[in-house]
Amino acid sequence: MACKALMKFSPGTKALIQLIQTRTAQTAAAPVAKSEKKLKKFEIYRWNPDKPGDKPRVQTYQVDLNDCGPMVLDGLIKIKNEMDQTLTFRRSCREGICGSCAMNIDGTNTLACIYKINDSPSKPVKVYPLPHMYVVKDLVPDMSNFYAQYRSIEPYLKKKDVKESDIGKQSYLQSVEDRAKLDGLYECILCACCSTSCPSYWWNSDKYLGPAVLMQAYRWMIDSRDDFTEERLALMEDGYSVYRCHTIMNCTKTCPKGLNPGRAIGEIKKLMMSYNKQKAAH
Amino acid sequence: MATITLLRTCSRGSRLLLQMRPQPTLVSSDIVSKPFTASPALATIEYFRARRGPFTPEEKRGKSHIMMASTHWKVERFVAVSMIGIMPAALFIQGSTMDHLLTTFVYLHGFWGIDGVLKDYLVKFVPWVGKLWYLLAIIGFAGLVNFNFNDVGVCKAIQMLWSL
Repeated sequence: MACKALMKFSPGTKALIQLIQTRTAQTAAAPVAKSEKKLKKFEIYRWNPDKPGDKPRVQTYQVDLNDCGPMVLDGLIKIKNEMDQTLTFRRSCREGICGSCAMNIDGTNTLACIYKINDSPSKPVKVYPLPHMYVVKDLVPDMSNFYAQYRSIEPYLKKKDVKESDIGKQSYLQSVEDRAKLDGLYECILCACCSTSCPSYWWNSDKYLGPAVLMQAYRWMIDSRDDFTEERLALMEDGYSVYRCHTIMNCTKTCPKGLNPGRAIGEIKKLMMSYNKQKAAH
Repeated sequence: MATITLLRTCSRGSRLLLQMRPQPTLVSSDIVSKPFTASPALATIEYFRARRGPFTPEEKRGKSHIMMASTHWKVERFVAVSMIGIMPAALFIQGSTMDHLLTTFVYLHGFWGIDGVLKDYLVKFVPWVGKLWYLLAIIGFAGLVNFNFNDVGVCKAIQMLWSL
């Protein structure tokens, strides 16, 4: 919301910004004076399961920032291309929409592609896999439990009294207000940054669903087109699925997309207080 | 070796059942036999290792639930919110009713607090610790009720503590 407000500029300001942008672009195009190297240390978690008896370790690489993009992912790709081909990490879209490159950088769970290499010249960039996940190799965590949990909440539109032959005949319309309820929920890219930053999820990831999955559960609960709200709520009727959330709010703090899973879980708890339990039983 | 066997038998039954299943021969026999060749130190760790998911909703709910989780949550909030009123009220109104009210509400709140901590950190490794906590809590509560009936009561006791 705040982001959208920031993006609205008056025509005058807009023109000024465009002028500055053009100016900057021109400056960037000019040949960079080959000055001294701006070396940056990358301290990266390494572990190779194929090597028997290999222990996890932190490996340090030196990257010249004058010859590297601004984001941590640029640095990682440069290291993989030019220094160490065995470095393993996931990446795809390089613009923060696929959620593949979620990792722990400088102590924060975030997407490497939209997280800037820190400015401090002496401070190294520390890169670890997502905390408390089983590591497949180097920076690649095992996401199967996370995906299984996502599957368990049935994240798709479910209708009652719709026959197989009716599907695709008509579109389910929604009022502007009902659609607006989904804003801030549907943008989630399931990068698991929030879930893996949650202490409750660290200790109970087997039973507690975690912020990312719960936010999507909430997204389907409040969808005006969905007929299974009560059933979806009844699915949470145990001490673990939702109620292991202690409102620590690490999820909201870390979300690289600026979403608020903590609020969504709070809303689920509110819905749980007064839903039609009889309806859910049928 | 006997210690390991004993520890394994004491641990959760589900794993024992898994081991009793006819084991596939030849296919990665080294993986299957791994827990058995563990050193005693490793066996101790193995005993406290929690079962990983996936858990069905029924398993998460458990067998011995008296009320629904959402109702329980509601009662918990009710107790917590009413304590805001009860605790200052105890400064002005004393008597056996207030003694019992204060005892019950503060004790319940604390009981669920510790229960939550155990659920968060310990129950998955030591499943019987929840029952132990219930036992301790009941004994403790019985003691407090006894104190309210047969002694001065908590309100008066706190007053006496302050006047020391």
